[in-house]
Amino acid sequence: MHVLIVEDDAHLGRGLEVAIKRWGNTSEWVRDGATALTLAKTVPFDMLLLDLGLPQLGGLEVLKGLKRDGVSVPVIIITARDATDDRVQGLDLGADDYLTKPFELEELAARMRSVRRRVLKTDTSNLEVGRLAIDTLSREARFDGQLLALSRQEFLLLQTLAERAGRVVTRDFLERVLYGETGIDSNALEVHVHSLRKKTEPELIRTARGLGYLLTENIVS
Amino acid sequence: MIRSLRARLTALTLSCIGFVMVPLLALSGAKVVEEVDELSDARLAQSAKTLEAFSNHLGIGMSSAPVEVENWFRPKGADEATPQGHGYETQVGFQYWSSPSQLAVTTQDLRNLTFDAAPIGFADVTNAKRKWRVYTKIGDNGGFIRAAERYDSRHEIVRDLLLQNTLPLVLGLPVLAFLTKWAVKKGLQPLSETARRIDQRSPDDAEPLNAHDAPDEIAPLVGAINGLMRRVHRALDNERQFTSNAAHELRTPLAGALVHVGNALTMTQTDESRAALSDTRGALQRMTRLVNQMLELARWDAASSAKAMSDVDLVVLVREELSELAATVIDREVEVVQSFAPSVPAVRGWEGGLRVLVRNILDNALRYGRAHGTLSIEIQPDEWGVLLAISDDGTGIEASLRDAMFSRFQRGEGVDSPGVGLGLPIAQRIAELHRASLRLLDAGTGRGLRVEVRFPRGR
Repeated sequence: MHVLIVEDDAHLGRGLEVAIKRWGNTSEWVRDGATALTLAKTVPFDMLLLDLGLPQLGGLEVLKGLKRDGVSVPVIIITARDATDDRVQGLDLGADDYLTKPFELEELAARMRSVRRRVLKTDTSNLEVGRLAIDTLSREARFDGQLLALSRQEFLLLQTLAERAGRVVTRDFLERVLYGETGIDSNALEVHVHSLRKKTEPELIRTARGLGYLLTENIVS
Repeated sequence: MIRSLRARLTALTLSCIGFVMVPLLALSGAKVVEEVDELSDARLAQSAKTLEAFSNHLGIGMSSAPVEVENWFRPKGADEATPQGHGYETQVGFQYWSSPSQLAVTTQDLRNLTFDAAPIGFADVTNAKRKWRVYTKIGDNGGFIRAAERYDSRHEIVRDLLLQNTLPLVLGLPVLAFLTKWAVKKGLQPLSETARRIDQRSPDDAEPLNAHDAPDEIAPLVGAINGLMRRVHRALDNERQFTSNAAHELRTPLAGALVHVGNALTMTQTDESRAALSDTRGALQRMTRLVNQMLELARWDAASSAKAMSDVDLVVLVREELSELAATVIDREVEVVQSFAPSVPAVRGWEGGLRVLVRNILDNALRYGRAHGTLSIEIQPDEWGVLLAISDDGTGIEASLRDAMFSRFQRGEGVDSPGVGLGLPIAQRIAELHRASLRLLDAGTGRGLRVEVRFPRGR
């Protein structure tokens, strides 16, 4: 995708350019709000990484300008501010996500993927998380392109975790989803998790003991 | 010098009253003595005239031997007028001399009083070892009428009068003292009221004291305190602002450095440079934590408990924060044991602050607890409000070192990834803003640290 980086700090801007190129994308980098606004209106960017503390025309003003001119582009705000008011205002003005400086590159990559996923989500039956692809309509799950042979409950478990990838899903919730409110022998859940790990990668589903399970977004092979 | 204004005022007021009242009493006493003396003298003269009238008609003085008359009865103890007489009757005697050498009639108590003992008119004489007031009058028929009154009985009346004049004042004095004390206290109430208001202020309260409410006398003092508070708050604000600005300014260069290190790590081929970059990244991550914690502390330092609070469900909040820390729980393979009471009252507070407090304590417990260990979280209602207890099974903190953990930039020892030393001070500050107590205890399992936060019951 083609990304517009709006960042007045030279070191950070250059670093972001390199990283985005490394992830197989292309980018343009501008250092002030006015240029960013003009550019965004003419070039159909796939994503905008927007610093809030820009000289002259601030990031929030850029967001307002985009909204006013009807430019629809996914925006991730990257800022040194952390006041909740700014965050709310930014999201209200149409930003899709918010990242506070300093951040890890992996975090930025994950946010960009997730925003991209949300924006491109025209076919809601397809769910892609890293090496995992799930078609909820045909009830098919693939790992590294390989179709997985799953029981109904294994599929449901994988889907539930994949929909909340990167976050802990509590045992209580999973049992509710799988077996309803009646509750079952708690061992059954572990058996399913074990089976899913065997069919994919042991690291795909991780255990937070006492809390629940977490599906890892991007595991290395 | 008496240090209490109240005692000073009471003492001064009572002294003033005494200063005026004592001479007044003395003066009025002297006046009473004088008046009684004059009154008695007049009565004595009157008695003499009465006797003279009688003697003229009865023709006393014909016999040669003096007639002795018994003194009349003087009723004892009767205060007011009774059929027997009056309490203020005095010992009165009389004599009738038909000539200066011939005593015709005398009362027994004056039997030894010679004619020459007293001149014509008023005189003081001593008779039978007592002082008498004597009035001698020349009678119309050439005789002499003499009436005498004992001074001590006269003084008794004076004493009575004085006593009755003074008694109300003597009795009234303690009442007066008590009332003065009360009045002074009442009068000084605005002072104690102002003192109370100053005393109850939280150190974050920058609002000046209302000088208009204060009495005129202490208004300058209130003004001076306000001025001092303004200066202190300005200095504090400047410091906080500086911390906050400095931390914010560090964020962008830090982000730049982290991005570059991240990029470099994927491009580097040799293990050596990878290791070096990894270490650089570790240092940058540590710096990131430090900057974030400094901002957090600056924010809560500047927060005032006057901000509006809401009801917060601690159980829900703790569960959410646990999910946030799931990655660490997984990495350190820690078992989380949650024991939450079925019904826990809501805690009055700011959700954001409580989140930071819980996160910092959980973070510490995960950081300093044992890998493959247990992290126990307990939420229970207690007699005071709500108890949140988070225990780890790490090496714990020696009891003597616990207090020091609340000072800023103090770090626990013997851990691979030490914190930045602000987690507990931040938690402490947030607890303080919630009027909650934060204590470090033994985990009770033989090892580890138990952090207890007791929140007061919400309204």
